[in-house]
Amino acid sequence: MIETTELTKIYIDAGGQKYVGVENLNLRIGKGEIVGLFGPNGAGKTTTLNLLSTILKPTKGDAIVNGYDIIKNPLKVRECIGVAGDTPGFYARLSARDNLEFFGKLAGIDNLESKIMELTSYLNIDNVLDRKVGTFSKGMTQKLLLARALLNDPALLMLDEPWSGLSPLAQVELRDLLTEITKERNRTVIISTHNLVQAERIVDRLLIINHGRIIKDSTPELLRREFMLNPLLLVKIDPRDLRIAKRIIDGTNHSINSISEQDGTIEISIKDFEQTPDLVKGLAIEQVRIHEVRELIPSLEEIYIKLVGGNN
Amino acid sequence: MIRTSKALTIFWKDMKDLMQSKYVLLSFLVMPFIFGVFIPVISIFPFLGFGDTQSSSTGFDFLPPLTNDWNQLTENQKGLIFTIETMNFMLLLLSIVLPTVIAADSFVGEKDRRTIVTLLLLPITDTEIYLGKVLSTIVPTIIAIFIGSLTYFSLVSYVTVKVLGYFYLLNYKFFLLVIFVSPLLTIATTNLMIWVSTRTSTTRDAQQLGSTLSLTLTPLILIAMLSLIYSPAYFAVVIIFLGILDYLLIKLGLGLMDREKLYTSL
Repeated sequence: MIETTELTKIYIDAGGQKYVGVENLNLRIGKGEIVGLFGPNGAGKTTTLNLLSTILKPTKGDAIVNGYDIIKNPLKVRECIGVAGDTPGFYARLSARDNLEFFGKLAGIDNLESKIMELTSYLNIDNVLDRKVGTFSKGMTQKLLLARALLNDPALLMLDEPWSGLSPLAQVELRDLLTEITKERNRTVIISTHNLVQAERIVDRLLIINHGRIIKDSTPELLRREFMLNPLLLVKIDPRDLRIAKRIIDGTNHSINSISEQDGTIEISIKDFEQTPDLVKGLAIEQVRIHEVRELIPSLEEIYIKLVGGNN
Repeated sequence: MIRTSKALTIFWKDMKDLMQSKYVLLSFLVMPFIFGVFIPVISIFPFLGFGDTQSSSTGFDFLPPLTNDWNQLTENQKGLIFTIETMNFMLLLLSIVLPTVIAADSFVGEKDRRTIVTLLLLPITDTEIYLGKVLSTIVPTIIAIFIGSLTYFSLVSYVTVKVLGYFYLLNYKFFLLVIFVSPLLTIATTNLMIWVSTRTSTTRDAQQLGSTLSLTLTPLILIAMLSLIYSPAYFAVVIIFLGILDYLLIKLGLGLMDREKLYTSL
């Protein structure tokens, strides 16, 4: 679906100063993949999306999107992509219907009216179609943005900061919608975001970009494993049973990292999560009252901070 | 190949959008009223009440004859004709003032509101965007000028029939000004505004710079008018000059329609 070769964008500012947008980007993204593009501000995420959507021309290198070259066939590339950018770009004085009709006509979409109705009712905004976009809430605007991006049934959907400015509830709603849209319709999706909490529940693969270069290309699962060299288990028991529990754990090949005598929490450095049931069984046999057992798996956010935190 | 349907879609959207802007709509309605009704009424209607005095030496002797029968005219009639010619100039100013207002909203406004990014993401060419945007400035301006000219023509004719005994403006000169000079000036101003839009990022900045730069076009109105009165051959030269200027400004405008430049100048 997407193949980039040494894709590079160098910006030159008014003073003639050069700075790197992205550098030597070699990417392969397959059909149906949902890829998260993460990185700090100015890392090159938006530049990557802008190059793939043909707004920017590469300084060096090339990219093929859905079989079309971004330099030789930009019009064809734009025909098969849907973009929901970080700024909505709607005409606030016009209604949602007028906006969608306008973009749909320019995109050359057949059966535009029924497409608009189908998408807006799916996204639950069909009841506000005749309202001016300027009166929309942030959540409604994001849904309308999604409707516009999906209007041409794109093979590649690019979303830039889709959760930006949304309330926690609206974030969850949008995430669920995106999950449905992306999985059901089997399209390739690139999500550029800082919101790793929401993104990690959708993406199949993640690319961490920094200073214009991909510094990590992995799946969430593999990345977690990579960063979970020392698996940790959190066991919460009745504080009165702490002495017995400590004795049992000391008799195993695991070690205790920390104990909170107040609430009975023990953090155990475990050899392997596969041994968790045996450990719990050992505690239960000795009548230890267990309230909670939790594997401490690092979140993508923690991994991301470890990866780029030092440099930013 | 330019797909005119795409340009027209942009044009119609802009028309719908402009009609929703009270500020632009007001300019669009008020300006033709000022230039086509208000100014003629306060400057030309008083000639209906002036005395019909004949004198051998008038206040307009400094002027070369403005009509063939100039020397037979009364001072009141000469004054009326002189005022009409001055008012023609004011009417043609609409070709410079209106595009500055409309283009600032429809073109620079796209940058201001960042809707230009969405346009750039669509499968349309830079030329189609350019054509659509130019049309959405030129068409309403020309319509406004034609409406303004019609009311102006009617009001002036009422007075000239009373004072001169004939329809003074019912001649090829006035129609040449409205049909040729005005649209050519509108195209020039519009393209000038497109150039301005690449140098500015807000509607207000564009209007300020655009209106200053557009004023440099006003001598062309004067030259066109004077050449029409005194030398029709010279008028043809003025028209050709305006045509070439438009061509060059269109080329410049098209050259500036660069996606990357538009995006990075946001």
